[in-house]
Amino acid sequence: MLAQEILLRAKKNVFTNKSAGELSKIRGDGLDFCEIRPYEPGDEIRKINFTASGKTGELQTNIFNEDKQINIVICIMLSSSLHFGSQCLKSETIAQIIALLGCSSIKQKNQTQLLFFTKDKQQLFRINNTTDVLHAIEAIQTWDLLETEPDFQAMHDYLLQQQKSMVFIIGDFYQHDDYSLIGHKSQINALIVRDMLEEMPNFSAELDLVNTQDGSTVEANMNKKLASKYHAKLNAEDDKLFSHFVKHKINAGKIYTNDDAFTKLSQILR
Amino acid sequence: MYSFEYPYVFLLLIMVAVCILFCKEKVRAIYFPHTELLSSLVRSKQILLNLLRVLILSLLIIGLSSPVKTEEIILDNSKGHEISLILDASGSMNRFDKFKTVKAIMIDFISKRKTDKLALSVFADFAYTVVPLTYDKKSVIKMLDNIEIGVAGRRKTALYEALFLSSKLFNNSKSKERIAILLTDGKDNTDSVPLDMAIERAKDNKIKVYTVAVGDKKDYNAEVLKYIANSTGAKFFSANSYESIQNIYKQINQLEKSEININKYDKKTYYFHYPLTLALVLLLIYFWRKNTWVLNK
Repeated sequence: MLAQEILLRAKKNVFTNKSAGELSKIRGDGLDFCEIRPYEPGDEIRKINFTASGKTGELQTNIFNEDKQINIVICIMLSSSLHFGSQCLKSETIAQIIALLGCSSIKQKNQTQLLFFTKDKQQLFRINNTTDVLHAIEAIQTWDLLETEPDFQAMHDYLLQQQKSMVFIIGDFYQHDDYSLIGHKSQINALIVRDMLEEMPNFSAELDLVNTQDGSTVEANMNKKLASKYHAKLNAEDDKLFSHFVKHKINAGKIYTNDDAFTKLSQILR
Repeated sequence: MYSFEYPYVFLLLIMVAVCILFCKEKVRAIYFPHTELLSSLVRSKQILLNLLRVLILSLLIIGLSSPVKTEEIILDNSKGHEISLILDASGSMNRFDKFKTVKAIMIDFISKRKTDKLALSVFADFAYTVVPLTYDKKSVIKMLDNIEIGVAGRRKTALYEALFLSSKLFNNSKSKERIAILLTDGKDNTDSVPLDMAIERAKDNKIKVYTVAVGDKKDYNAEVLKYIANSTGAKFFSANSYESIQNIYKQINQLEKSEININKYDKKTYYFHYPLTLALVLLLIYFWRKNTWVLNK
């Protein structure tokens, strides 16, 4: 799919859909009043609602939503394994997600940064308009993914320096990492992009499977039995990953290459 | 004896080794993420399949080289010689290790007479037959090896009796070539059988009696031994060293050469079907393990 086409589809989805609303779910220092609740140690004294406290006889605090204009950081963990896909390449699905998130943040007037993290180089895009989104899509589409390795350390370092943000980490998450620190600081959304065929590789043929990272080859007769075994083992690894996400309150979900990216993204971020 | 008919076929093993390393089977290749996980699943299977491949090819090559067991079969035994070995085992043979030396040379002689029937007799105070005429050379060698001085007494030398007794062994003989090799280091000093009678019996049975005298000339009666040999159409030899005794037996071996036996042939039992069958079984296991059956798709 062309970059323009991806962007147009995303625009259509984002700008014509009203269901998502524009309110931020993050509670914080905004002006948008949310609720009154009993005072808890650590709450700011200036937010105590004395009228409500007088009525109820105990200290009450005003709670506000975070400013609508929030910081969004989209981290794309580029790796060689993204150069795979049965319906379309995983990198193309990521391009669709970038378009959707970019258009969505433009609509909500959020400050958005998009970063590609690889061991060789990092690239930063500030998303202010759809042209920036288009550039980002073109960048991922033209990126030579083979032999590319994601740089988790650089991502951690970058996010820890940033102010509290809504972070989207997008990749296929084959390399496991510790997200506890950044999970504590920001609200993290992990979007796992996968292909059905890579999770259940029943090719029913004898194949040389070439590792996208180092070019090494595994000779295997990819039948149903082997595919099921592989699927079970991969599921076990994914279960560990999701347990880690749950433990650190990270919102996570899988998006397959044959899924409708907009629908799936809405489900994950609801 | 087990051997391979075409041992040079084993050179193909080098080709197999080269092929395993360099001639990779061409199959479709695709990029696949996370092959580390997959390789851990297929590694053991891959090792087994490679092992099966090597085994199958090796067994096929063994089959091609044609393992065979060769046995010598003689249909008409009458073409070979019949040889009676008559050995002096009296006490005097013990001197200068003569007995041991003679035994070693005789064993060597026996092993060279491949198509002949052999008998063994010993004499001292009396004569007796240790092994009658037989093709079983292993038994003759074994018995000869076990004979010690004194098995037939020590003091006397029943030489004529031994010749007489040995001649009797040929009574039912069908062979045209009958030979006796009489080895002694002394003179006959028993009166059990007269010399003429012994020679007569040998001549009746058409036996050529080679006489071999060992040791000091004073101890044996060369004239009598010559007489025996000449009367039967053979030769008399005397020796007093290991080499000379060995030469005598070599000469006898040359003089009495068995003609090439046209009825002798090598019976070959072929065993190529065993490695081939095993290779076939392993090939079936290979296909099964490879899951190339349509039903497994």
